[in-house]
Amino acid sequence: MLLYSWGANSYGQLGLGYKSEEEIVPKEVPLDNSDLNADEIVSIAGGAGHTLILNNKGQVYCCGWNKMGQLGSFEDTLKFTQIEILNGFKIVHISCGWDFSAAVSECGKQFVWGNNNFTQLGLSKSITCTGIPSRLQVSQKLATGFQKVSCGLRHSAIITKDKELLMTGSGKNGQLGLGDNYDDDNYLSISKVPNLVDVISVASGENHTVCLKEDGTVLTWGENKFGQLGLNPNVDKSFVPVEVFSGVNLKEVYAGWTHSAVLTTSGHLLNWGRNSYGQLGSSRVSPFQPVRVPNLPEIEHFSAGSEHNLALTKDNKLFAWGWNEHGSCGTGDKKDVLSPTQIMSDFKVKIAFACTGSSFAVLELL
Amino acid sequence: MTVFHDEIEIEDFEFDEEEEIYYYPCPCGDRFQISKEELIAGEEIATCPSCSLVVKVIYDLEEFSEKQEEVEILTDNLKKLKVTQ
Repeated sequence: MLLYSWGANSYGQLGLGYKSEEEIVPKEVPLDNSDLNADEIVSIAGGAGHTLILNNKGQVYCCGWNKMGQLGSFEDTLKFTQIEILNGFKIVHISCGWDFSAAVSECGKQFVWGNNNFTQLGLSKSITCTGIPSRLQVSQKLATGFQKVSCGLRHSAIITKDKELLMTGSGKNGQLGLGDNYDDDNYLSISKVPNLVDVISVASGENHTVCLKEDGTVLTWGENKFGQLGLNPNVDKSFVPVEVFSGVNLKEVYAGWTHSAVLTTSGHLLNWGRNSYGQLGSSRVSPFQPVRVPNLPEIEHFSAGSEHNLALTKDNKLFAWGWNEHGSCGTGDKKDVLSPTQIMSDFKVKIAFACTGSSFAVLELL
Repeated sequence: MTVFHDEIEIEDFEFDEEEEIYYYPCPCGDRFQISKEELIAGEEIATCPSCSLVVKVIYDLEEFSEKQEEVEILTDNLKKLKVTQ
């Protein structure tokens, strides 16, 4: 297996060992001198300028921008380097916000590092940023452990062991879903969304949050300027969770910066929100209404960058669409991709991840 | 006519005091930027050095300029105080 990357690379986030404006043509990430093995990669997440890779041994690797300590490593690196501080824990889940990072261990501990100016790490307001992965500690009343986390631009949503939802960071646009009960100047930095249980999936965008419950209900809250909540944009924001639709067999929810998506167990992708650069993969009369993406085979795995998308089919073909000014769609040019287009067609793709402005795929030659 | 990627309120920008530049994240990974000087001059378009996207800065020019003058007077007074000491 090989690791490939493409798209924005201003901070060296592609792990190629150098910085460049962008890489329009997908490139192989050199892993020869690293103990990271492409076969073992299970997850990749990326912020504005940094990338995290998780392998099946529970180890986390980082590269790219480190201005706010978002790498979790003392040294800046342009090649994937292991975060040694996390070594004692088997990490099973990672997420990156704009300039901050989070990881959840198998035993339900959560570690956070990077920018905390908006208390997006969930640490107290006195900490502006930290380069040391720090354990998130909350009262038993809030959570007895953590399962998953999704970091957005300036906020995070955390699914607890009890399938409830904790929110951290800025609530200015309603993205915390706490109603009027938020205060960005408050010293306390972490709160539970009231009356929300059985959460199985959550995704944070620029200023909004999408959440899926066990019973197939999709709830959204935060900014709705572009219909990203699945509501008519004449409602500009919602400070409380709104039930936008429900369905059977919904598996996971996703958020780009201003668009949202949900994947069904049978591999259908529905999306809604902003469509100005082809984010939704088809022209829409009412982009705020959830609609199945046409011309797309059954999907096994999906991920959304800020304004672009990657979908992996059940037969290992990779499709991309959306904003492409930095070649994030991997089509080899910079033209926005308005409908799902197969890329890397010479390869059998095992898994792929869209990060903020960049993309990664683990693959092998056909 | 310029097509704006978004319209962002000045309060949502982060201000770098040393550079005197306001920043807001751009989806490409870089940041939209506009200097304090430009804002005082009435400029309302923040650009990203890495891509073609631009955002409109929502702010009240009069209010912004007045506030900057106030800050300058205060800073001057502070300097004078230090000199006297």
